[in-house]
Amino acid sequence: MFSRLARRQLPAVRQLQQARLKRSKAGLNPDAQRVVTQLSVMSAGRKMPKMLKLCNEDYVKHKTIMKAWSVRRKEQIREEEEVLKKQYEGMKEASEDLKRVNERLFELSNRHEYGKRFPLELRVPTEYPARQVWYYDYVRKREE
Amino acid sequence: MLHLRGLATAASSNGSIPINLIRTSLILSRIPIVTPEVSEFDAKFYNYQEELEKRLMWTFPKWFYFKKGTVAEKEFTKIQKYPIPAHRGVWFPKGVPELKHGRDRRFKQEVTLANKVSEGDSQDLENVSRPITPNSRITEADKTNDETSLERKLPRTLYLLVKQDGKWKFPTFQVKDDQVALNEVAESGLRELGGDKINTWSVSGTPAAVIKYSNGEIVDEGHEGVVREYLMKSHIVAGQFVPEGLEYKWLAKEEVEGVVDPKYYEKVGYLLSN
Amino acid sequence: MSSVSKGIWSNFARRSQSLALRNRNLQKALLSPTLPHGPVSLKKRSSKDKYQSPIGMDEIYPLAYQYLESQSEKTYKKIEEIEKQLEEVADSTTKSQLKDRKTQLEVDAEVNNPEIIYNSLFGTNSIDRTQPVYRHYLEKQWKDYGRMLIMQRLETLAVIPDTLATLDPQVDVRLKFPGNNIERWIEPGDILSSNATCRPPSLEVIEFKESKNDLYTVLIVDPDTPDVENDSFSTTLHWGLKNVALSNEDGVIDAKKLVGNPEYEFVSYLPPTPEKNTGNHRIAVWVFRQAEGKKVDEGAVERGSFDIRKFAEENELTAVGAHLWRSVWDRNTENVRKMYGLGRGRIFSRDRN
Repeated sequence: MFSRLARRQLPAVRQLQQARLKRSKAGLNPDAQRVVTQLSVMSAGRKMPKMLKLCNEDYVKHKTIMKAWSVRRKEQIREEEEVLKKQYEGMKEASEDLKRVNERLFELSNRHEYGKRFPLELRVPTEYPARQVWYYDYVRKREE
Repeated sequence: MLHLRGLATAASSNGSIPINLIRTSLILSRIPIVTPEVSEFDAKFYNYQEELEKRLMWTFPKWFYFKKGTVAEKEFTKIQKYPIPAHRGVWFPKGVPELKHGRDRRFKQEVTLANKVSEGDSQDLENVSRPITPNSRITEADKTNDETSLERKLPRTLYLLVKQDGKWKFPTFQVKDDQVALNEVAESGLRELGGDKINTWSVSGTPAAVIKYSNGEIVDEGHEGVVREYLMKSHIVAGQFVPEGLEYKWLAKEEVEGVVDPKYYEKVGYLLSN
Repeated sequence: MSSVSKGIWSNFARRSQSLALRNRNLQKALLSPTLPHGPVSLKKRSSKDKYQSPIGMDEIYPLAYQYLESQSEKTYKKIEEIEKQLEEVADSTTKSQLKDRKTQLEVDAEVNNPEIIYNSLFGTNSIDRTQPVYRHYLEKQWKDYGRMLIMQRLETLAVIPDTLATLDPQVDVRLKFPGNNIERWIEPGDILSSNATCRPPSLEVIEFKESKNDLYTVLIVDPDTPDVENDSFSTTLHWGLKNVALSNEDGVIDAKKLVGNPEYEFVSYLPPTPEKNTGNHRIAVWVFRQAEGKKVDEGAVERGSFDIRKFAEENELTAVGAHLWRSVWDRNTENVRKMYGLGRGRIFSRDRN
């Protein structure tokens, strides 16, 4: 009785199973897959790292490191400004002195140099030197 | 009549100082060729910041860069080291892993890229795909401590010093008449000393500083018969300085301090860069 | 394990012992590149096991510590110079200027010390207020929150100008009612049951300047007492303390201190017992710093219709801090009245007759 019943119901069960099997194997259709991918690209929650929680000791250490950095930086900036100020004072003193000593030379020194450009041959510092570190074979251009 | 007003603004009477008391000095510098050395503190601080940034970075979106099912995606997936996922019944002493998109959210993500080693000799310039090996920042001149070489101390600015009248100083030249600008006198004097196979770039016609001598001694205030040296700045661009029968050196700032007269350094030290 | 400190911050010959962390393991954690005993401040065993310090911190931290320590040593050199000058100078104005400069330098020398930062961030209740650097941190915290809060409460509840004209807060006043189930620091403006306030409160006055034997006057007033004859309200004085000597070490006014110094209290404590249907009564606590060396000598003071502005003016008092709470008629009011023998309170209603 039971086996007959089971046999009678079997094709339907198989059909259902086959249908489910097929669906899972095929995956989503390409359009739906694209939507899923795009949502995944946009969703922040799954890509964000866990919040960084420091224990009290490490928090204080972190503060100390950042403070040391800023104090150092401030000190460097102060030193640079001091040097720049000295250089300005030096230029000013020399120019005023030159003016007093020889006005003609002072006039020449302040003359506008037309067409003066920063030389393109001066290279920007790089992480590692070039194969030829310095260009020695310079020949002066013939003046016309 | 003079109408130019540059840095000097104070009014003055026309000078009556003889031209033979005016000299001009050239601070010729070689600018750094490589980036400056990073101090120990800076290097470690940058490392700390970089690690924090990596820890707080979002997960690498693999699906954005690699289309699913392509060879590139498979290769990329193959070389990644994925963390161990959480498993029921397994005890993790350092905390249960929290994997999302193949990344443990508690730590930084290590993304491994395919390291395609190129074939060939790195010195073979004909081979376009030769492996890249960076040149050393320490040159031959550094090893032999050749102070006359322009190739020493690449991360520093070097300054040209010559031995004039038994003293190390910046090359100094006598001004002969007041029809030529000070920097031009200095530049042409440099070529007379060291040949004209040198390309320099004069920064400006205005002097950077002045040094006053009285009877060969450096003085602060000008009296009668004081010799004045105006310092002009210039950079060497190419070529080299090859004098005949004259000692010269290319030195960094602290080396200049060790060589020149302390009084002289006091007057020029602030003009040199670290 | 060697300490990262190689200079002044581990030298307690001339620095106070209170500038160090008391917990040895915590101290060791702050003086080592890594955490030798694990994260001591974390309580749970599992979070201790899970915890990992950020990568690279152990390398940079010793350098950062030593850099700040060397800066601090320079500051201590400056302090020594000022101390020498102080011995030579006789003029009082320059002397006070030098002293101010010295206090400022003492703050600067220690302000970046990790142990100090730890104490002032996580151990605010037990820090040594005689040290200028701790006072600096306390003041900063107070200015960031407490001072703004008290001014906002005083102004929105119109205690300013109903009692005094205005206030420039200089001290942090904290208040609590000991001996009942709500023994905690009261937030300014809280509505408290008359049962909770039936015994005198204990106050803490936190000075941020150096204070050795300043005298203070404390007045607690209720500006919401109904005045039926004039169809208005009058001020009642609930508590009056005068010539209370406080310092940086000890800023507490509690029952113990008052028993020891009965002369402080010139008007005894009367608990707020609002009558029914008179709404919320504002109970304002005013703390005045007395002029240096000047004692308040007030004879008999009437509790009712108290004029606080006149009192402050007559005794040359400047208000430096305040606090307030609110009180309303509740089920406990009758009990408190009975306890103090005040008789039954009136009941107000809409029609007056």
